[in-house]
Amino acid sequence: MRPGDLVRYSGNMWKFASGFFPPDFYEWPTYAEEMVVTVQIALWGTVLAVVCSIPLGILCAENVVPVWVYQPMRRLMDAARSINELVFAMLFVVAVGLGPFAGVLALFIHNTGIIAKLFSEAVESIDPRPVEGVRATGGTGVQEVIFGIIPQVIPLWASYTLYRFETNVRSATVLGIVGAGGIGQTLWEAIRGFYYAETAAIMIIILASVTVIDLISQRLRRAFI
Amino acid sequence: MANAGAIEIRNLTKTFGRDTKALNGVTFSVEPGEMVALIGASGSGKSTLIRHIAGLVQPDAGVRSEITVNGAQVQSNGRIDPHIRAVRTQVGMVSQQFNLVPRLSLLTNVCLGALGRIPKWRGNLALFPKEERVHAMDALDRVGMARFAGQRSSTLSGGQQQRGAVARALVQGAQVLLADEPIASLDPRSARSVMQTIASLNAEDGMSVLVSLHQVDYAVRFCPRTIAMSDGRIIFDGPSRELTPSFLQELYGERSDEVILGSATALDEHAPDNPKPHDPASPELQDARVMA
Repeated sequence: MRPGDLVRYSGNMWKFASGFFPPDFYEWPTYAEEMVVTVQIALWGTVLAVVCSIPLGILCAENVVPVWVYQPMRRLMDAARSINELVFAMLFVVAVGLGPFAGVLALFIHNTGIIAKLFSEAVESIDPRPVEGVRATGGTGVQEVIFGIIPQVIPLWASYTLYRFETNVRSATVLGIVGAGGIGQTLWEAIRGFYYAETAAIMIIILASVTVIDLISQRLRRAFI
Repeated sequence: MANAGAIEIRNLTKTFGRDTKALNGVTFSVEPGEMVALIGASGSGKSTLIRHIAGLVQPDAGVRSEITVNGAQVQSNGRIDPHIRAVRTQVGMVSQQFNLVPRLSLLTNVCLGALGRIPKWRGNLALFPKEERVHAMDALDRVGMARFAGQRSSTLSGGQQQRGAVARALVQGAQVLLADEPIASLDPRSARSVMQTIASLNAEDGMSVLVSLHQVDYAVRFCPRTIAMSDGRIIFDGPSRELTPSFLQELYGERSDEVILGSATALDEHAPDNPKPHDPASPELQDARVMA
């Protein structure tokens, strides 16, 4: 740690920072297009992960399935979750080539691990009595899940899904750095080429998009509760 | 005639943990069309017994025991019958509140009673046939709840939810109704209305009823026969009118207060010491009941 450097080289840093101003929005249509691709990567990654997490989350819940089902399922989800999406992105770039599809797959795998865990925790905190009520009518195990469990966890599941979508938009902006498509690629090229004014413009576009998405998801969340 | 009763239980034993006997050699039978009360302090094994009859809990293995409902086996010697789903459709269950799914409408909740008889795919998609929905509306009408059909059941009061659960048992076409403390945490007026609804199912449809109650006065008023439990054993089985306070004192000793509790208030809704209806939405109230 050399905190003295902050003072000693402050002149350099000032010069570096001033390179970002004024932001250069000349190529904004390209940036906007790439930002849309980034949001699409996040959206697809989240949707695929949620669809798979509904059954997987239930199979990870100890109040629904026996130990020999939920223990292996949980370890599988641990594996999906423990490896960062950037690492998955690098692997998928090799497997399916450069571009957004690799990013979608990376987010999908990593998020399935996370969302299935969150979903299963919601299932484990339900009130068991309505489920028993459904069982007592002679319903099947699947019907206990459909009528007893899912109506109870829907608000929490919706909230988790929206939160993961917001997180994924932020994650998707860096996936481009390893070649998995979206605005990250453009951003990384601008930084590497020392085009700081353009870098600033891209960062402002990312910031504005993330803010808009947070606002929209707040609205949606309210609709589910 | 063996196994002809509505409920036949022989030597039912259930141990929790290492040696806590929740049920200890319980044997009795309920004849078709009978309405029987099950009383006892909390922890005496009433709920455990009822959950066993519905096949929701497995009794101790290695004990020669048997439960049958309408001649159909629920379990024998600690093994739940593989056809338990078919048996459960004949048994309606009303538990101590919270037995409806809160975010579903009352009508959907009542329609769930049909799950055992409609095709599985229809049940899974909640596509209840028209005649089942009509049937469910009739049942709701019968318990005086038809105008709440479209409402989410979480918005209903405790007594209304209980009557909804009774309607579900009607849709089920149950021949036996098990009610586990259906009126605990209800105010006296709702408690009476729920008990009257249950009694009318017994009187008009010939449904056999086993209802566990915390308060003995409701047993005396609604059920000709009472089974009293203490520490997992049956300590009395006979006409309810024999249950005078002095006899209860004899049965339960110093714990009798817990069983007699509320006898002054239950029959008179204007009783001064219990003027306000309980808030049925608050689960704490159940725990606030007298604990031993």
